[in-house]
Amino acid sequence: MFAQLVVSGIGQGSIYALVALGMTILFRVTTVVNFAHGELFMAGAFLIYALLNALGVPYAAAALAALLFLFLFGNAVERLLMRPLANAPHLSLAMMTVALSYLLRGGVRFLWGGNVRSLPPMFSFAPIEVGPVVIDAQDAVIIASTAALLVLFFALMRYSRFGKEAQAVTDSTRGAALVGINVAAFQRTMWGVAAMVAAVASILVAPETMLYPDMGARVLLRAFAAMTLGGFGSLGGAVAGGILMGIIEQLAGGYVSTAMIDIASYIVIIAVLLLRPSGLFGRAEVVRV
Amino acid sequence: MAAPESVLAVNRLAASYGKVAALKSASLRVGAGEAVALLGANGSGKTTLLRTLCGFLPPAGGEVRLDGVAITGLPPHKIFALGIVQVSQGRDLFGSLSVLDNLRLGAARRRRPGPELAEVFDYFPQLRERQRQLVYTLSGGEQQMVALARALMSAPKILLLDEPSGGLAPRLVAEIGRIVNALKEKGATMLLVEQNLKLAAMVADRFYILRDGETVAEGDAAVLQADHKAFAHAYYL
Amino acid sequence: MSRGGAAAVAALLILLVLPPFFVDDYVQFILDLILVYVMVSFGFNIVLGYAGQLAFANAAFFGLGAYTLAICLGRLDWPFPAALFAAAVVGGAAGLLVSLPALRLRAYYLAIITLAFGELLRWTYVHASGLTRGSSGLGVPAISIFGIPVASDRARYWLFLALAGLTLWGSANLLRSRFGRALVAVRGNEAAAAAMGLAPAVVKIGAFAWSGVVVAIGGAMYALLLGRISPESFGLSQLLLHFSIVMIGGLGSLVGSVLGAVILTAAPELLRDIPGLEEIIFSLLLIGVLLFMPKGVAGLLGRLALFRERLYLT
Repeated sequence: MFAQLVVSGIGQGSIYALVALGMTILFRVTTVVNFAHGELFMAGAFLIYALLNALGVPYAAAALAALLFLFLFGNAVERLLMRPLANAPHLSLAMMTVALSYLLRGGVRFLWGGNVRSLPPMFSFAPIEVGPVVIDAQDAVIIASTAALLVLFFALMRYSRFGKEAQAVTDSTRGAALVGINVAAFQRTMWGVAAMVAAVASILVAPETMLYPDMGARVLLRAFAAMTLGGFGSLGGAVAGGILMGIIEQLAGGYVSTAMIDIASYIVIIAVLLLRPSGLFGRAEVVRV
Repeated sequence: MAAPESVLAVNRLAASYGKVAALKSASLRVGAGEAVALLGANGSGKTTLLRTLCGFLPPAGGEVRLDGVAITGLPPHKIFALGIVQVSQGRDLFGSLSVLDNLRLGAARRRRPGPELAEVFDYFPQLRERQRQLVYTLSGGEQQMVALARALMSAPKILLLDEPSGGLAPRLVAEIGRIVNALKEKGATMLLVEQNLKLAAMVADRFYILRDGETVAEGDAAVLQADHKAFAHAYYL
Repeated sequence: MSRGGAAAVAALLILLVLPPFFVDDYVQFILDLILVYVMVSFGFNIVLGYAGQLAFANAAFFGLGAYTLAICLGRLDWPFPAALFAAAVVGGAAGLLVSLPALRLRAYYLAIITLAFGELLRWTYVHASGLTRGSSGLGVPAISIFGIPVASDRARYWLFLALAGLTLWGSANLLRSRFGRALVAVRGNEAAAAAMGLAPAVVKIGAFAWSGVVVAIGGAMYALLLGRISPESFGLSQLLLHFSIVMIGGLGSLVGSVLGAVILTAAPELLRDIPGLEEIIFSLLLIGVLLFMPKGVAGLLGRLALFRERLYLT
């Protein structure tokens, strides 16, 4: 049972990892903690649902549309809601993302009501059996795609100019401006990229999960737990923390009680912040010169 | 002073932080190949002037021209693209990247042909040895060199140096002075803010004095060389 | 206070006491609800507006107050004053508890830990069904104070008015004290607060504890008013209402708190029937306030010289 739980935990955790990763890249470049990130993920899932059901487009086309739409939406959020507050206190920036989260949730509830919806599974090949462990088709796809995307993402961050510039803005926005980077435009792009990463999670999870307006808030707390576990602001930590969080949930559900699945993340957040605020992998704060 | 045609011309520039007018009326010129020192007590507006020149602070009045073209009020990245590059007092380096990455980022967005890495390393042999090291692990003096080297990689038309000797030990001050002099001999144009009058005297051709946000005097750097103690007494007290 | 000022206050008090003689049941209920949210807003504003701490625990304090009162009255058969006192103590203790991590953690950690705290409590209301009757909801018995029954919305109005009045008086005094000045200083600069002779830590703990007390009393009033409480009343939409009231009324203004409560409590009754509409309208209001009037309605009124002095006294 242990191995089975760990495998489904990795499947769930991959989604948390992607959502936490999106929040982390945004946080590193803008220092904004986006409380609406779960809702970006939720909106992506509903967009796919709408395109499939109402227009009957193929899944791949819906997925591409979701990526593009969320990229543009992220840019628009930065331009219309965040940029005007550039000189406001941090509390206002955070409150703005809180307001946005409610707006998206209300919008989706308004359009589709509060009912739970679901999509037919995207893949229907037989579950993969590895010894006693059964990996279901959708889980296999999620784990493989997440792994591939993460490799791509980290290669991009490490070797591309875009990745280096992202690190430059993270280390010092003034320094970035002094080497000619348009920091405001860069931050806007990063809002788009972060929203797009949320859309990736939506694309992977939409065929498998229940869709409802509050699904984003649920995932947001798990992403926070992931970031807290992995060390807030660390890219690798967000991914490791997300997967770990998925495994912890499944183990708590399997060995303690299914009701524990819902609160494992809250307990993790509270315990880690009280006992070890720098996270499990314990590197100190990002070093700034 | 028969300054050659001006690379940088600043006319009655003003800027403020909120309601505090930090810069009231600063006017100066820097000719091609010239090194000009900007002197003044703490709080006289030197750093504010550099910040405004780089576009970090919107000007409240006055004008900045680069090669005769007005560039007043442009955002930092555009000013950089035109060739005004600052080495700030806080250095603003990318601590979690290597020396090499810092220098490459200096060149990544330049719009003019600039020096190769190898040329810049010739000024800073120490950095060549440490090019793979992460910048936050370097000493203060080495970090100052990275800041200078990164600015050189940007192919500046004019280099703004804010207190390059600030916080460094005397031996390192001399080293920085030597490097800045070498740059000057290669024909670099520089505006230098410096508390260390000795260093300013060694490098600069001319100087301006800023007091309470206004340029109140200018002169030939030979004056500084002759008697910088009397000079300091006259202008700083 | 001048003689004119005293007369004005007396007139205002009489005006506030009178409504139950003139309004119908529905309006009376709304007036009671406004007083509940005036309390919530006083409490939340201390943390969000005065101390400038982004915390999501407010719906949790509110729910704790409501459940504590309901359990003490219904399960333990305590007299009302004792049950109300218990609600205030539990709220204050919760405020103390969430402020402890706030002391050594960065601002966004506080937001995250309080968010988790609130959700954890909501889960507890659902699952500790032996105590709370879980999702089916817990009834709140009618109360009497020293033998006098308080059964109608009219009678509750006077009780609530007294509680809100006492809280306003207490909060205003607190904010005028050395503690209050240090509290505002914490928002700007912790060193400045320390310079006033109070450790920033003490100030933050005090702010959260007082906030917990006030909001929990508001929650207890809410439980009395509705007569039945259930876990979904204390989730994210409750929190949105709290945020909106404080932000739209005006951060850091007690008068703004009253204004926010009056404006927003009357409105949502009309919006309840259409799913999502309340969220849309409140969030758009919040966005509008953040973009265009960062000091809220109180700030807008404050621009009129007439109001300025009084609004910012408190």
